[in-house]
Amino acid sequence: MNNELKREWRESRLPKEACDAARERAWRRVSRPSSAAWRAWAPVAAGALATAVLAVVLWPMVADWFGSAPPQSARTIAPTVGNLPPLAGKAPAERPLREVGPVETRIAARQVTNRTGKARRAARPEAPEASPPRQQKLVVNFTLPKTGVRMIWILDEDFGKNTEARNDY
Amino acid sequence: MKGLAVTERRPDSLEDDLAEARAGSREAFDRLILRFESQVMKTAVFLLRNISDAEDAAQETYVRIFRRLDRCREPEKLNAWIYRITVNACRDVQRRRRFWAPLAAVKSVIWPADPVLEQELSGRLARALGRLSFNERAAFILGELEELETSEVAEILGCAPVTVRGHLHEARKKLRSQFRDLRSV
Repeated sequence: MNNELKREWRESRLPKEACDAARERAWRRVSRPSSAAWRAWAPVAAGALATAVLAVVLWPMVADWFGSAPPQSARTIAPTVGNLPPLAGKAPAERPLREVGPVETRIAARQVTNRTGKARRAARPEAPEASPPRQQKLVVNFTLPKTGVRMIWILDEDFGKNTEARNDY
Repeated sequence: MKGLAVTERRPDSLEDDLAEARAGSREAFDRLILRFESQVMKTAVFLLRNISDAEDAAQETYVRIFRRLDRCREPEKLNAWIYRITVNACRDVQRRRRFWAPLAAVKSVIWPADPVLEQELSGRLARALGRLSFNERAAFILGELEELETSEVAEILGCAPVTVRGHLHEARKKLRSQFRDLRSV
């Protein structure tokens, strides 16, 4: 059986049109300029994307590190805080725009903001004293069954002196 | 005889053809592919039992050969590498065909298959192979018809040698029932 099948396998002829068509289609695919250009640019694009992602991920860590140990230049800028106008009374929209400079300046500006915030909290006036206890009232709200008259009585502490009554029809 | 230097053009090596084809030479690409065409196309035709599917699989195989041939570090395993790519491409095509099967039925009604091409596959072997599963067919084609070692077939199919032996056993059993008359030959 095997010999017979092997003979048939060896003698089987392939359709030439199909062979040529497969080769032609493969050539069209591999010689397409866009695919070659894409293959050339793919590593560059992937590298740029990876760098951007790393920068986004690592930026807070770098900023925190700078924030915990600010450089000398930042520390020299910091004392100017005292000269800034107080912000406590102003709405956020009215705050003066700060000029955004290089990294050190921005970090210093952030510290300025923080300190200003602390200063603002420290300078904030004491919380107002507790409001006096509200006057207690008793409200009686009912409808008379036969006439359908609705009555609302509001009784305050001075019950018996000032009694309000309102009727809704 | 100073000026009688005969320039004999030596047949291009595989690497030369690949380099020339990558530089844009269609002739080099044809030379490169023609080395494997019979092997690839015959395997694809008998595995898929459909000319247009075999054409798709062969096309995919040629593209992979063109793009990855230089990654094949062991020249003695080039043959097995080509078979592996071919079988994988055929598997992909078959998976896709199963997905689009309902649409293919409609298509075959609208555009009937070419009778000339179909005649090529009307052999007894092709019909008998249709009774086998894809893996049995692949194991039989590679192990029996192409006479590869079981370990090689296992590597090509991505399974253990014992699995290949199982596929071969099943394939032989099914084919024996098909070719009862040939037993006496």
